[in-house]
Amino acid sequence: MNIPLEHILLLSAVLFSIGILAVISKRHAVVVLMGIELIFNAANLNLVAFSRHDPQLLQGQMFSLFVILVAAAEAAVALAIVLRVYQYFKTANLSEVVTKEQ
Amino acid sequence: MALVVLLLPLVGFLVLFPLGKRLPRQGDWLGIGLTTIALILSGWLYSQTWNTATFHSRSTWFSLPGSSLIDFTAGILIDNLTVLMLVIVTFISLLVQLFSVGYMHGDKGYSRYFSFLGLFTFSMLGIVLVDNLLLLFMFWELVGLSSYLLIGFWFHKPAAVAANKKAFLVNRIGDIGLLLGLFAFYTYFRTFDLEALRALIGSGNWQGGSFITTYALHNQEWMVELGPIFLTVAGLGLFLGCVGKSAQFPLQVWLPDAMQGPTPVSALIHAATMVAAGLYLVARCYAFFTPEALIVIAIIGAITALIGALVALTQHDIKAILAFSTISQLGYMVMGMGTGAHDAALFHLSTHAFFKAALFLNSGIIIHAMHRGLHHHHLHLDAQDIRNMGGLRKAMPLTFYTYLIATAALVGLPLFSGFLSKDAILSGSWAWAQTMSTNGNSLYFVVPIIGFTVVLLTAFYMARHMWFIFFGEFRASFSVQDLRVGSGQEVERIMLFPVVLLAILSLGIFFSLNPLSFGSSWLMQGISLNKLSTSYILADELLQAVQVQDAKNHTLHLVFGVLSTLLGVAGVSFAILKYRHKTAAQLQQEEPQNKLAQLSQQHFRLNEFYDKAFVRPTMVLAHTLYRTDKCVIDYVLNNGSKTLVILAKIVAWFDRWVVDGLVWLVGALSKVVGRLGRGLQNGKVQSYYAYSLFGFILLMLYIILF
Repeated sequence: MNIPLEHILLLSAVLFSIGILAVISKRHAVVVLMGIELIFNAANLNLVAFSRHDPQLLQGQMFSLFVILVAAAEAAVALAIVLRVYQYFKTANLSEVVTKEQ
Repeated sequence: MALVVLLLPLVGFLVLFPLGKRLPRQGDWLGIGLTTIALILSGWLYSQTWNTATFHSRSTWFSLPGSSLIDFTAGILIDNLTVLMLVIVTFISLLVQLFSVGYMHGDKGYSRYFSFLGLFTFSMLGIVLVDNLLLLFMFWELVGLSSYLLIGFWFHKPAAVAANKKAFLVNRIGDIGLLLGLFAFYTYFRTFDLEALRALIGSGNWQGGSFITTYALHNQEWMVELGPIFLTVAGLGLFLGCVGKSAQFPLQVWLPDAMQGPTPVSALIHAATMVAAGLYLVARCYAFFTPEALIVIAIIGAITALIGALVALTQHDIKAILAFSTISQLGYMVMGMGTGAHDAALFHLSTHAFFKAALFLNSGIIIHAMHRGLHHHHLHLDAQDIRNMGGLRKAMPLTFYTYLIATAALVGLPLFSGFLSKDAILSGSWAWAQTMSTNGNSLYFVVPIIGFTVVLLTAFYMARHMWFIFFGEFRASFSVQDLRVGSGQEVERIMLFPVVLLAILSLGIFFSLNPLSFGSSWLMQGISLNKLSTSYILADELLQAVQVQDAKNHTLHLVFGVLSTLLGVAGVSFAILKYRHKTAAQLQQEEPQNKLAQLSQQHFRLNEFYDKAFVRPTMVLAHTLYRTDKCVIDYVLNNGSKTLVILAKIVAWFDRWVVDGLVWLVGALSKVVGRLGRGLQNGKVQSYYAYSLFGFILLMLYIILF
C-alpha cells in the first residue's frame, strides 16, 4: 500500500498545528508538555516520510529514534520541574506561576 | 587791592541775602558801607593808575591736559579805562543805594533788594576788572542774572515777571553771538587772555588779503592764517553780545520793559552797569574788529540812536521816555565806537552815566511823590503817566532844577557834560565819513547826519518831557502841594542828596576845563586809544586816517558845536511852541494824532513784529509738536502696544497648542509605545513563545517571498 507523501505532510502539519495550539493556549503545564510531544511527533512523521526518498535508507528513521529518545529524557526532566513547581507554588497552572517577591 | 574792591559788594550780597532781615535796619547800612569802602578804594586805585602805569597780574587758573592747550589764566588788568569804570560803577551804585534807602523804605523785600544790588555791583566790577574773555563772559552772565533778579524784583507783578523774562531771553540771543565770537578767537589763537590776544593780533600782518600770525605753543610753532571775512564775522559775534546787553537794534526791546523794576534799579541798569557792560566789551575787544566790522557797528549804532529817539517822542510814561532815551544814547555811543571815535564813545558813556542816573533817580522822586499824593487822595491814576503831572516846578523846586541840569546835559547844551561828549562823537563820525568816502561813495555821511538828527529829536522829546512834568497846571485833581513830604521839605533828604550830587556832576566843568572844547578834556585824553593799547589793532590804518582827519577839522568842530547847540535849542523851542498854548485838558488827553506818531508810540510795532515773527511761530511749533506728540506718537504707541498684546496672545496660543502640543505629542507617543512594549513583556512564557513564533513566521515569509 503506497500512501502519497502529500497526505503524510498534511497530517504532520495538522499535528504540528494542534501541538502549537496546545503549547500556546493551554494553562496546565502537563497539557503544554503534551503539546510539545505532538510537535515532536509531527517532526518525526516528516523525518520518517522523507527517509523513503533518501538514497541511504534508515537515516531519517534513525533521526526520529534520537528525537524520541531526547523527547523521553526531556519529558522526564520537564515533569520533574513541573513537580517541583507544583510543590513550590501549589499549582501547575502556568499563568499563576509568578516569581515570588524577595 | 582791586580784588578787595571786587569782593566787597559780593560780601554784601552773601551777608545780606540770608541774614539781612535780622540785621538792624535790615542791613542797608552794610551794603552802603561796603560800597563806600569800595568807592574809596577805587578812588585810591584811580589816583595810583590814572595816566601812570598799567597794572596787570595774572596767575594760572587751571590747565587741561592736551598738547594744543595753554594753561588757562585768570588775572586782573587795571588801566585807565578800568579805573574810570571802577569809579563810575561804585559811585553810581553808592548813590543808587543811598537813594533806595528812601525809595524802598517799607518794602517787604528791603534787605533782598540791597543784597541783589550788591550782587549786581559785584558782577559789573568783575566785568571791568578781569583780563580774560572767559572770565568776562562769566561775569557777563552774572550781570544778566542779577539784572533778571532786579527787574523782576516785584515778582508778584505779572508785568515785572514778563519783563525780566524778556530781558533774560533777549540777552541770551546776544550771548550766543558773544559765545561764538569767543569760540572763534579761542579756536585760532588758543587763548582767552585779552593781552595775549592783543599781542597776537599785533604780531600778525596782512599778506595777500589774509591775516597771518605765528605763535609758539609747547615749543612748537603754530601759524594761523585767517581771511578777513572770518575776522569780521568773529568780531561781529563779540559785538552781538554788546547788541544784547547794550540794547542795540534789533535787540533793544527788553530795555523799555526793564523799567518794571524799582526806579533806582533802572538808574543803575541804564547808567552804570548793565548797558555799559556791552559798550565796555566793545572797548576792551576793540583790537579785534576789522574795518568792515566797524562799519556794521556804526550802522547798527546809528539805527538804534534814531529809533530810540523817534520812539521817545511820543511816550507818555515818565520812565519809558528815559528808557528810550537811553537806547538812543547807547546807539550814539556804539555809533561812536563804530566810527573810530573810541575815546569819544567812552567819554559819552561816562557823562551819560551821571546825567542819566540823575534823570532816573529824579523820576523816581516824582513817581514816589505821585504815589504818595494819589494814595493820600485815594485816586487810581497812573503815577508814571506824565499827562497826569504838570506844574511840579513850584511844589518841588529842587527836583526841578536838578532835572533841568541833567536834561540840559542830555540835550547837549554848552557848558554841560553832554555837549562835550556828544560833539566828540559827532565830529568823530564826520571825520570817519570823510575818510570812508574818499573813494567817492558819500553814503557814509548818512551816519553823522543821523547823529545830528538825533540831537534835534533828543532836544524835542526832553523839552516835551520837562514841559509835561514841571510846567503848566497840575492835572491830577488834588493840590500839587500834597506831593510834598511835609512843609518845608519836598522829598526825603537821603533821596535828594544823590540827585543833587549827580546833577552837579553833569556840568561840563568837571570833565574839561574848557567847557566848550572836548579836545582838552582830561578824561578823553586819558582813555584815548594810544593810551590804552600800545599794540597794533586790526583797523589801525582806518583809525589813524580818521584821527588825522579829525585833527584837521578845526573849523568844522566849531561849526559842529554851534550846529548841535542850534539844533538842541531848535528842538527845545519847537516843543515849547507846540505845547505852550495847549490847555491842561488838552494835555491830559494828548494822544498821537497821525499814523506815524502812533507807530512811534508803539515802538514801531517791533514787539508785535517779534511776537508775530518769532514768539508765535515758536508757540505754534510747540503746540503742533505737542499735538503731534499727543495724536500721532501716543496714538501709534497706544495702538502699537495693543497690536503687540494681540500678537503676544497669538504667540502664547501658538506656544501652548503647537509647541507645547508637539512636546506633549512626543511624550504621549513614547508613553503609548512604552505601554505597548510593556504589554508585550507580560512575563508569560506562552506569549513570548507566540511572539517568537510569529517573528519566525515573518522571517520565513520574508525569506520565501523575497
